[in-house]
Amino acid sequence: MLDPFQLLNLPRGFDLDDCVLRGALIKASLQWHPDRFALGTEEQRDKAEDHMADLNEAFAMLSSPLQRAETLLALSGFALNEGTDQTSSAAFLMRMMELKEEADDALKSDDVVRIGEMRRRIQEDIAHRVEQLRDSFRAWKAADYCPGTLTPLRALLTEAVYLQRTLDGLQITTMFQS
Amino acid sequence: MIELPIYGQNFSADESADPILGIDLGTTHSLVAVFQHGEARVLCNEDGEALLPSVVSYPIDGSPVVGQAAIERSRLDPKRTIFSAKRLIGRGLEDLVVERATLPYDLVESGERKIVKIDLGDRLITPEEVSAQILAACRDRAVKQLKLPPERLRRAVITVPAYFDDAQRQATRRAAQLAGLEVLRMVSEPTAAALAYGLDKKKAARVVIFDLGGGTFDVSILELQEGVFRVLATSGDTHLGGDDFDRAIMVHVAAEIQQRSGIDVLSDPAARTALRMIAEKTKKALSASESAEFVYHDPSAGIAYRKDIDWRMFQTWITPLVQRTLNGCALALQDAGLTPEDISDVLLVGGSTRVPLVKAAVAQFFNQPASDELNPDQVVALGAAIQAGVLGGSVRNALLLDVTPLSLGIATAEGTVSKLINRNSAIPAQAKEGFTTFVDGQSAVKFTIIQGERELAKDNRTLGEFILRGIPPQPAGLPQIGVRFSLDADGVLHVRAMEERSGVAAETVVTPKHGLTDEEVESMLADAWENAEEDLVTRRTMDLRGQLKNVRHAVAKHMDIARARMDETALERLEDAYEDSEDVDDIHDPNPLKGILDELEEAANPLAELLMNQVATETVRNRKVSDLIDE
Ligand SMILES: Nc1ncnc2c1ncn2[C@@H]1O[C@H](COP(=O)(O)OP(=O)(O)OP(=O)(O)O)[C@@H](O)[C@H]1O
Ligand SMILES: [Mg+2]
Repeated sequence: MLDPFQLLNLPRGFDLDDCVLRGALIKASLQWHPDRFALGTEEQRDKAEDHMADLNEAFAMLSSPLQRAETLLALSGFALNEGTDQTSSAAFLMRMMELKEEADDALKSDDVVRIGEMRRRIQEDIAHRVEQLRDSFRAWKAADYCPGTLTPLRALLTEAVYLQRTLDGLQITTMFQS
Repeated sequence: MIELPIYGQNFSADESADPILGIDLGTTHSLVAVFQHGEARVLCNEDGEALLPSVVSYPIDGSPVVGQAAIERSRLDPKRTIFSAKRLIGRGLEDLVVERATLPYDLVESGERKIVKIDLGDRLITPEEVSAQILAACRDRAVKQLKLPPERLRRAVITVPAYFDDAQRQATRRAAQLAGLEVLRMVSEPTAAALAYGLDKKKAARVVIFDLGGGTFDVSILELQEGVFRVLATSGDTHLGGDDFDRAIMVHVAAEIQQRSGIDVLSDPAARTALRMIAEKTKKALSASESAEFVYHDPSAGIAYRKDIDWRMFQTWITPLVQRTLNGCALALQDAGLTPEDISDVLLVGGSTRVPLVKAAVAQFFNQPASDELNPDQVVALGAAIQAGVLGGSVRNALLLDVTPLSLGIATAEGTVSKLINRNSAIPAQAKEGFTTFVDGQSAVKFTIIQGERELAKDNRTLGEFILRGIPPQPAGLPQIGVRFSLDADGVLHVRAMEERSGVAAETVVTPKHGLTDEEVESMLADAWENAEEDLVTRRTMDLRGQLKNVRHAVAKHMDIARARMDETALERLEDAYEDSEDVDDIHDPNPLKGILDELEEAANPLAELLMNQVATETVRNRKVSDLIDE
C-alpha cells in the first residue's frame, strides 16, 4: 500500500494542518511534475508522470480527514472492513436510511437551494464527527496504539463515512448535464 | 523510505534555443504568442492584428485560405468556408444536432468509426484538417514575425477548453500533428489565463476564471501560492458560447421573416451565413448601446427585413444560456468545497464576457466585480506562451497543477459505470480496478471506457473499447484482471489491462470513437507533403482562377438585369471582360490572370450598383405599414 505520509514527507498522524499539507504537495510538485522534465528524456518524463500521479493520490488521501483516518487505520493493519464492521448503532442506521430518503427527494426536486441546504447540514454533521475523531486518535496514541481502544474510533469513522457517501450522492452535477 | 533520486529542474534555459509557440486555438479566433526576453507577447500580422479568425475557406480549385481572407469568401462560397471547426472536433454527428441546423456547410458521417466530415461537394475533409490549417497559419505568422525558418518553430503548447474530453483533446493533438507541430503540452484555457493573470502576483489567492468564448464555456477555480497554480475544480460546457448568442438572434429573426414573408431563410446556406454575420454584429453593438438595428436584404428572394433589437429583448433570449454558465459556477464551487466568499479574484476571459448581462450575472454570483486588467482576447495565448516558457526552462518560478474535468471509468455488465478516476482529480493520475470473468472458460473480456458523470454508461461518452484476449481457461470469477488507467499531464488517457495469474496483457491509448487513427494521420501527412512541393506560382494561379470563377458566376447570374438596365458602353465593357475571362486554362502566369480578374471586377461594378439600388426599392415595397410606424 502507498504510504502517503512518506511520499509527501510528512509525520504520520491524524492531526495535519491544511497549509502544511499543501506546502508539502507544492514542494514535491516543484521537483517532480512532468513539466519539469519537458526537455528531459522520455524515460525521465514517464517516471515523473508516475511519481506525480502517486503524489497526487497521496495528497487526495490526506486532504480529506475521513480518508486520512481510514489510511491511518489501514497503515496500522486495522483497516475498516466494508459491511462487516458491526460498530454502528441501530439508531444511527435508522437515521441514515431516513437521510437517504430525504436526499433522494431533494435530488428529485431539482431544487438547488434545498440541495445546498441539506449538504450543509450533512457537512456539519461530518465536521462534528471529525472533531471527535481527532480526540479518539489522540486517545489511541496515548494508549500506545492499543487495539482495544479502537472500537469507538471505528464506530465514529464508520458513521462519518456513511454520511460522506450520502453527501457524495447529493450533488447538483447530474442535473446540469442532461 | 523510498529514496527519491534528485533530478529534473536542471535543464538550463537556452535563449538561443528554438522558441516554443503558445497557441490559443479558439472557436472563432486563434492567437499565437511566444515567451522571449523575460516576457510573453502576442504576435500580430502585418496589419497589427493579433486575432486570426479561425476560418478556413477551400476554393474549388485553389489552396485553402485562412483567416480574414477566408471570411471574405464566406458569402461567395458558404459551403466551402468552414468556421467553428472546434465545435466539431472529436465529436459525432449525434452531438451536433443543434449546430447543424444553422451551419451553412454540410456535415456527413463517414466510415465505420462514424467520423464527422465536412462535405465540400467534391471531397470530404475532417475538422482536424481544418484546425491544422489554422495551426499552420499561426506558425506562418510566427515565422514571419520572428524571422525564423519554419523548421525552427516545430514545438508548441496548445490550449484546449478545460472541459474538453479525451476524444476532443486527442483530435486537437492530431490536428497539430497534421500541421507538423509537436505538442509539448496541452493546457486548459482557463488555467493558461490564470497563469498570465497571476504570474506577477505575490499574494496567495483563490481565483475564479470565467471563460466564455465563441463556442465553449469553462469555469475554473485555482489556488495561487508561491508561483504554483493549483486547479481546485473546473466545470463547463463545450457547446456554449457567443455562437449560441448569435444563433438566438438568428433564430428569432428567421422566425419573424418566415412569419412576414413565408420564406424559410434558414434553408439557404448563403442566407444562413449572412444572417449569422449580421446577428453577431448586432450582438456586439448591443454590448455598447441599448439597441441595435438588424438589417437583412436578399433581393433575389425578395426579402427586405429590418428590426430594432433592444437590449431587453436580447437579454430575454440569452438568459437561459447565461443561467447555464452560472450553474457551471455553482458546480465548480461545490466541487472545490468553497463558497463565493472564499474567492479573492474573478477574472473574465473570452470575447463573450463583454456582453453586459454576462458581466453582471458573474459579478452578482460571486458578489464582487470582475477584474478587467487583462485583455480578455489575449490572456489565454499569453498564458500558453508562459507555459511554453515553463517547459523550455526560461520561466522557473511557476508551475501549473491541473485537474481532469470529467470522471473516467469502465462500463459494468449491469450497464452502470465503475469509476476509476473522479472528475477534478489532479493530473497526472493513475488508478487501478480489478475485474473478472462471467462464464467458465471465458478467454476474452471486452472493456468499454466511459467518460462522464451520469450513472448509466449509455448516458455518458464512450471513449473506446478494447479487448483483452488469450486468458487461459479458468472457472468464471477466478481470473484476476487488473485494469490500470493512467491519465497523463495533457489529460489524455492510457489504459492497460492484465490478467494477473497468467500475465496476459493488453495496452492501449484509447482511440477515440470519433477521431482519426494514427494511420489516417500518417496518410494525410504524406499527402500534405506532396502538396508542399507544389510551387507557389501554381498555388497563386489556382487561387486567381478560383476567384475569377466566382466573379464570373455572379455576373452570369445577373446578366438579365445587366442587359436590361446597364448603359451601352458599360454593358459592352462587361461583356468583353466576361468573354476574355472565359478561357484561362492555358494561362499559367499569375500576372496576366490578375489583370483579367481586375478588369472583370471593375467592369462589373456598375452592375453591382444596379443590384444595390434594386435592394433599396424592394425594401420599400416589402415593408409593412407597421414597420414604417416603428421608426
Ligand atoms: N463586444 C462584444 N460583445 C459581445 N460579444 C463579443 C464581443 N466581442 C466579441 N464577442 C464574441 O466573442 C466570441 C469570440 O470570443 P473569443 O475570441 O474569446 O472566442 P474563441 O477563443 O474563439 O472561442 P473559444 O474560446 O470558445 O474556443 C464571439 O462569439 C464574438 O461574437
Ligand atoms: Mg478562447
